[in-house]
Amino acid sequence: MVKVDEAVQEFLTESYEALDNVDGDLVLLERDPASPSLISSLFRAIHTIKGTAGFFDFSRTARIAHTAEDLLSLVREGQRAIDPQVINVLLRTSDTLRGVLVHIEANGVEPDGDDTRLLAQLTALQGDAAAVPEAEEVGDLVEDASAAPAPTPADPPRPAELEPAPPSTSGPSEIPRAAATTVRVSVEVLDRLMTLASELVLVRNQIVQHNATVRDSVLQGNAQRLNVITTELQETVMKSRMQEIGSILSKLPRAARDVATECGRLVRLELEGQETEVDRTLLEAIKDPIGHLLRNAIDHGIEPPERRLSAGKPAEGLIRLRAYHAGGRVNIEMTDDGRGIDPARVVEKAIERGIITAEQSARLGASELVNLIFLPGFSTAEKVSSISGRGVGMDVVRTNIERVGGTVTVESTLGSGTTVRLQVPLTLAILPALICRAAGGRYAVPRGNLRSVISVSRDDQSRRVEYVYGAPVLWDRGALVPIVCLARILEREARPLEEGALVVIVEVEGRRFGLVVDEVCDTEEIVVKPLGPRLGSSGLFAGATVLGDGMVALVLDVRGLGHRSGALGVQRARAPDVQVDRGAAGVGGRPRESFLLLGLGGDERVALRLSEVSRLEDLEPTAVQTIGGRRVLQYGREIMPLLELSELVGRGGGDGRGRSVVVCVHEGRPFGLIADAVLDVVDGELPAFAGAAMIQDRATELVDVPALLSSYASQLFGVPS
Amino acid sequence: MSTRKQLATFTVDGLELGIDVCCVREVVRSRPITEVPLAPVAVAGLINLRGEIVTAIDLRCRLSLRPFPADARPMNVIVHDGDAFVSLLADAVGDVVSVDASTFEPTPHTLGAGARRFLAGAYKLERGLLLVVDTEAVISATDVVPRREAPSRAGALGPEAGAEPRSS
Repeated sequence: MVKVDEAVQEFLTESYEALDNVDGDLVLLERDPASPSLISSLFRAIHTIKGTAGFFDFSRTARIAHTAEDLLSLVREGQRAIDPQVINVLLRTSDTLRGVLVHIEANGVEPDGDDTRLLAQLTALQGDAAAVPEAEEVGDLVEDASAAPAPTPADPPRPAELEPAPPSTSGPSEIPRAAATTVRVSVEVLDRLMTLASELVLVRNQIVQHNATVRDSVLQGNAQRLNVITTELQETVMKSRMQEIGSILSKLPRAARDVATECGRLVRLELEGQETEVDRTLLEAIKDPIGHLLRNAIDHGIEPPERRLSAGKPAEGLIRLRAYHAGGRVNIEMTDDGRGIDPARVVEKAIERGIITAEQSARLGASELVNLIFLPGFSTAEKVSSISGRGVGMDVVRTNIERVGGTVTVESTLGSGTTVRLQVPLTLAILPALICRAAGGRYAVPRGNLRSVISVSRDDQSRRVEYVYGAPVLWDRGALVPIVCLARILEREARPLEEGALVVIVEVEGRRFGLVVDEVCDTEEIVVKPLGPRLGSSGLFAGATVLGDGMVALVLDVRGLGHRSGALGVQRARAPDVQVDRGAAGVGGRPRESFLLLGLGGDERVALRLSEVSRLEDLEPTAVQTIGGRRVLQYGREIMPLLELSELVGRGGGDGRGRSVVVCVHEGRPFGLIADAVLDVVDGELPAFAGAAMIQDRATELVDVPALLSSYASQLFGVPS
Repeated sequence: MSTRKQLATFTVDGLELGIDVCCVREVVRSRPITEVPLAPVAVAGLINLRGEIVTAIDLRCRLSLRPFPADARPMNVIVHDGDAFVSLLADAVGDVVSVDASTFEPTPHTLGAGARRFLAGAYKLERGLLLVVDTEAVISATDVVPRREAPSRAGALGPEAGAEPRSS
């Protein structure tokens, strides 16, 4: 058997289906010959076969279908009534076509054959009924038809006596139906399968867990097999729910064309990766966000043609939409070669709309500035267009994507273009989660939000809780991470934060915070069931699940937690746990920064730029060692030289009563600067000239840490130890 | 001609309550309840009913009765609210009782307003009053703050010395 290519196979499958419909319609038409809907349906089916056959150069098929279509056209216009003659010829046409299709399937080409008679019959019926040619084939019932030229609905039809005429094919009952390689399954059945597979996963979890606690080799073996089979079943069912993303992408070129026309842009949309598979339920969730991103790209991204030309770009803008699998997730990237996102303008608008204050913006890096577009109430559109609306865009996109466990990121180069990347998990239903215990209950943290788990330790600098304005924080990968107590958010009794406490670092909306829990249990694959409406709307829970031991646990909504606790709070309702003092507004309009204010004894104070500080430590006099005549401190695995700040800044020697060590890193080596006390972390204005910063209305000496350490280091390490 | 109704009965803090049998799916023995922080006050939590997660409502709380003792093992009366199953926590479950529909009475005013809100009426039985639960009202109430009312005495439906009018 010749292998036919996929397109032809699809043509065949569809045509078989169409012919089934034709047969069905014809049978119904015999009882209801005037039915307009049946006639239309019949016409459409034949018309489709004609069209696609022509596309593939199946000329015999096309010719037969075309002639039949001509007849049906007359019927549709009321110029030819359906009578048994017409029905019979059309049924024969259907059989003929079917035979041809079978041959194509087996051999890749149309069979040779003489359709003269059939075509003549079809043509004759378009004209004078009496001109129908005599039949010669045995069992051909054209005789019956010609005996009753006038159409009478009362004539009992006898479709069962039909026999096909063309000698090149066998009777309809004997034509081997090509087995279709796909079947159509109703969505409900697929959903049911998924539900059952999910339930099985839960039971499997329970059995596996129980199995671990008993010594039963029979159970062991079966539990093992159950585990393997369930995993594969789960994966296979998930696969059955996968649909090509092309099904939603294919509508985009038309949408792009319409939006571009409305905005006066020239745009070309290129799609890549349309065959990328996505879970059916996720397709719904990402459809609107993608549409919105496309509108944004055309409306705000691509410049009008004149602007583009004067910028040296082609007048037609290019938007590329690429879908692919990577890292166990579905990635969708939309890249445009438009004007890009201008961080300065973003900041301007954000400040204007009260989303952020100037001093807070000064602390943000360029990529963080761009991410301001995700905040509610933001839109840099000069005029609100009917399409992209008023700032409804990016925050809604992000919310919707995050709701299904995905992420949205933006990268942009001013003048060159913007790339928005959506990442969504392969499936919604089952997700891995970390089970924690807090306030007497167990809670699941979705792995997607999980970054790390830290056990608090006073001795280990990297696991030490600091307090900024009375709020606990941890340094995590170079950033201050606010810590909140899960029990307290749940309004239960909370234990004080102590040595060994467990902090689960989570991330959502690009920001991290830590959740203090009592215990971290294990990771489980959980099926998240939605919470009913009567459980309140605290926003803290994404749903509930049944754990391996049969107990119900609540699944945390990390975003809701972050907002309710204030750990993610921006400048709206709740104040964030970590807040930096807002000093007086900058006078000279110079950039404002955060400074660490240190006391050197007496009233003396100096400031260091917070960005140059790695850690703050308390100085334990007993921990100071003297090596080679210099005072040092053990810092992790390193020996850290200690320097008296007051000495360094020329205020005379320290009195040795310094209690704070400011750790700064220079060229990879830590240095400990001893100060009397850490007074504050404040905002101030960078000095116009080196040496002093305006902090709390006092000119305060600013220590240039890098310069200081640089000269000291060359002294220090130039000496052989 | 009298029509008879079948009511599934159960007791809650001494009160005998009934629900039309067609509305009760099943009764399930006590099982562990997972509390849901910040949920409305009468929501006791969630239970695992053969893999399905079902909300359990504390009937004592809902009817402003005395709370369950700490070591209580309440039964789960499973009803359906149109979307999902819901469990109503009761002390103990009784028999299915057949009543004459014509003996239906409005809920006596001797019961506190907090309880009357969730009762549809009563049937007079030989052994006492069988109060009919308004299942829908019980399930859909979303009070967050517990209502403070003097506890009703078990079985005593005379003029309630302790029943105070609900302060608004």
